[in-house]
Amino acid sequence: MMMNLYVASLILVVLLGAMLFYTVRIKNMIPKFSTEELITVALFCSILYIAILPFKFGLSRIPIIQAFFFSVPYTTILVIGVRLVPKAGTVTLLICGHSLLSQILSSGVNPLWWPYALLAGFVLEIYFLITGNYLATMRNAVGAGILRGFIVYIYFYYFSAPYIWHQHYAPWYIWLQTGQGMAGSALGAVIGFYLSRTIIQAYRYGGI
Amino acid sequence: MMEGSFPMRFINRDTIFHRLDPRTKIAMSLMCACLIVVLRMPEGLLGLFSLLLVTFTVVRPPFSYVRTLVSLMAIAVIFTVISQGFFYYFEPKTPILTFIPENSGWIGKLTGGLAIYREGLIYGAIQSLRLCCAMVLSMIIVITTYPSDLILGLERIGVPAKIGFVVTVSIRFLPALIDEARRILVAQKLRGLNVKGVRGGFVALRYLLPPLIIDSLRQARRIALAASVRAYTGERTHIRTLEFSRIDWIAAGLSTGVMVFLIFFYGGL
Amino acid sequence: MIKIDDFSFVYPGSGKPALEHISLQAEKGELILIRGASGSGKSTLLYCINGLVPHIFNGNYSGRIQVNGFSPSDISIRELSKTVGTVFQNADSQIFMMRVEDDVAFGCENLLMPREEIIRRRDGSMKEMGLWEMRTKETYKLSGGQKQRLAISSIYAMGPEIFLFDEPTTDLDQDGRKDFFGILTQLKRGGKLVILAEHQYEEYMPLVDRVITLHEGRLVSPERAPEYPPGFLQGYGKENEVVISCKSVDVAYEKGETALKNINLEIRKGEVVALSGRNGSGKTTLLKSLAGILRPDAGVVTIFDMANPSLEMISGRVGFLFQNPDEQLFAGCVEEEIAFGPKHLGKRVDVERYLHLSGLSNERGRHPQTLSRGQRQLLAVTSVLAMEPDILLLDEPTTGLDDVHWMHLFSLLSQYSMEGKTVVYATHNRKAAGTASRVVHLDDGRIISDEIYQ
Repeated sequence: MMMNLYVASLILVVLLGAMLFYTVRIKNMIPKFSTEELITVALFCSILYIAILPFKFGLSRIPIIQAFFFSVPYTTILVIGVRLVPKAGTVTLLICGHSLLSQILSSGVNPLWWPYALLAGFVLEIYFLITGNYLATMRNAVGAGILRGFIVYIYFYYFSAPYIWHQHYAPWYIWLQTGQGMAGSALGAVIGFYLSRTIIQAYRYGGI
Repeated sequence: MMEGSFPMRFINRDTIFHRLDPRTKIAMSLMCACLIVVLRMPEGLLGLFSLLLVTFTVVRPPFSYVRTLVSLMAIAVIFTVISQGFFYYFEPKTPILTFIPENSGWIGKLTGGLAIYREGLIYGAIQSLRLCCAMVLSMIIVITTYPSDLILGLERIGVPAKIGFVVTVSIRFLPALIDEARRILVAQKLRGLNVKGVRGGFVALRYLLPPLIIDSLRQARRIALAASVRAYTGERTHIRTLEFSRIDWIAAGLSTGVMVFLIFFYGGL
Repeated sequence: MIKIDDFSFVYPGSGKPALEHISLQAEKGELILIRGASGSGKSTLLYCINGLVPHIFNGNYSGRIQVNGFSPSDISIRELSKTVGTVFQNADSQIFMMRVEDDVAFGCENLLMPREEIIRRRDGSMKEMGLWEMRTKETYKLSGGQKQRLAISSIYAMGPEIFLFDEPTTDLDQDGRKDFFGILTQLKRGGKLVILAEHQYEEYMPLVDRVITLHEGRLVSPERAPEYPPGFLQGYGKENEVVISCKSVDVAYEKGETALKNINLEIRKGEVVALSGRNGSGKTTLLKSLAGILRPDAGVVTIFDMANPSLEMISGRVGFLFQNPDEQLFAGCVEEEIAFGPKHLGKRVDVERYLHLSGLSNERGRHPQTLSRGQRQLLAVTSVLAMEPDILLLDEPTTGLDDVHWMHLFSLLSQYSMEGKTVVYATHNRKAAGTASRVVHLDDGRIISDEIYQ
């Protein structure tokens, strides 16, 4: 019975993906990434990996507040990345690319991790489609941050943890972690939005 | 954690696992993951864990890696034992140490009580085996598979070539970016910036990211130009080939056999 | 092979034409040198031949270009790359794979060649370019010269008849440039057409068949570049007290840094010292040790009477300029950048003066990253100078600078040293080294010579 719930969540991810693909097709927005955009995304995946590194050790080993500290730099860079390449598919490429990178280098390639990354990507893509803009406003960015934090932590504590690792947590703990995740992601989004303004200016008018 | 500047853990040796096709390894990894999820009985988990440890020794890892793995596993075990000790889900549960009694006012109602349960500790210890299995498995895969081969393997089983290219470029430029980030931090320290502690972390973020990202954007433009004159359009042939050999079939067969066996006897379904 | 007829080109959104009325003809086996200041159109001209113009940089153009009978606007860049190979300045951005042999094959893979052919071409190219012994090496571990050689080898494997080089050796040291000379010789012997755009080209002159000079997009007749007399940067410190000294200093090998052995050196207040040597001679390691960035494993580095100080202890008194200016620009505008150091050190400083010194007073509100490379370099130097450090250390300050900015940089340093401050810089460039009054030459981690010029 318990396994069925997890399988159901996997089917949900596939459904979301299909929905997304269908909508994008209908709206004729199948993203075509130029070589430069692909490479920009690739470098951002590396930067995502680097940004999390210092937080893997030291203070944030304490699991209680880990959620907050991981989310901030991750979302900051995610937001900057999407603002630089505002297209359908960017955020999925970023999240999945980084996830694969992480797997290849540290945690071993395992299809078990893939639904997790895909889900985060798909949900954000749908969010962008619904709101009609790719982080063009601060409000949109904060919303994306909160949404990301919510999805990622709720999915982990209600689906991954109980069914894959057979670990259970009290609801108050789950909401504590999710709250931190949402707060951290929102903060990260704000920082990313703020930093991206100068970066985009330099990028557009800059000498390269 | 990082060998020099490069966080890659691949070690170039010639063991059986190095010779396996990456697709086989991904398949075996998936089967192992199934086991990690599905096995119920502690004997099954223990069996899987021992099997993985044996495999790990076959790969002949250097001592520093073993040490890293052991410390990671230790942390995982401690955390799981404690967390499940607190949050044990099933009945019956007998509290050893109670911090917040279940019916003590609003906080009791909110949290449902906070206590350490005996069954929880045991349960945590058993379940932590799953985490440990996953850690050993991931080390084996990472040590024995060269990233380019892994990416090619992924592309062969259906991951789009564009994503493969993105990951290739990410890995290729990761050490250079790490070095650059380090240099920027040193330059900042010399200009009087204090980057110690948690607050320092945020300060570093604010001052480190823009130059790093802008330089990466510049780099991206140059790389894209270089890719264009290197005739890159997204489609290409490959000089590397992946072929299944006899050991792949044997390994796949063995793994499937072991998986079925373990599930059947220790699945507890 | 290449025929350019009255060709002009304007980048989109730009008022000024990048190229005006260029006419040029080039045949097989020739080596053509293109000279000109930054922004004179050298790169643009090359881009017009390899198809980047107009496929990627699509602006307005007039006139005709023919490459092997085709017009670059009619065929794709991929098609063109079978005939025209391009090598750019930054070797790192031209390497895509983690292993040498994989990168050499990458171009052929993109041309959709069958596997046997790719193997043949890859191995042939690696052998000819001298990369065979390091074919399984990781690209991350290569030296600058080797990386550039790899880039050339990857293009060579694709089999083009025409080779375009866009400032390929600006970042390389003597050895790298010698290697490149050898490669140019090989290409000429193989009957290829080579077009080379370079700043410092004196060493390659024996191979050059024709010289073309560009100025603001037009072909002009050549002018003499300004020369600097050796010893131009006079130090005034021969009798002063010692500010930095190294006694029996050893620095161990640490990923990428050359080890130093038994260094004994004294630098006095007010001196101008050049640390010269090849890449890998240890000059950058020594420079970083003098700045307190690297701690010695044996011996003592004394800075301002402090033995082996930490960065915190000397921050503000020692200024260090890294090779890449972009890694040292953190602020939102030029003015803020110059004020950054003093602000964080709590020093009161006349920012206006430094703004003026950098020549960027009119750009004070601009974002640093929107400036040209030469301007960014000057801004980085001035930002460090604004902290009014007693010692200034610079790592390869002349990389990528053209003559105009070079002049400005050295005049800045000259003024600084006249105030009685100490300047030390590491350079692989002979001309730059000769400009200082004292030259310390290093090789293989040791000091070979230490001479003062009057």
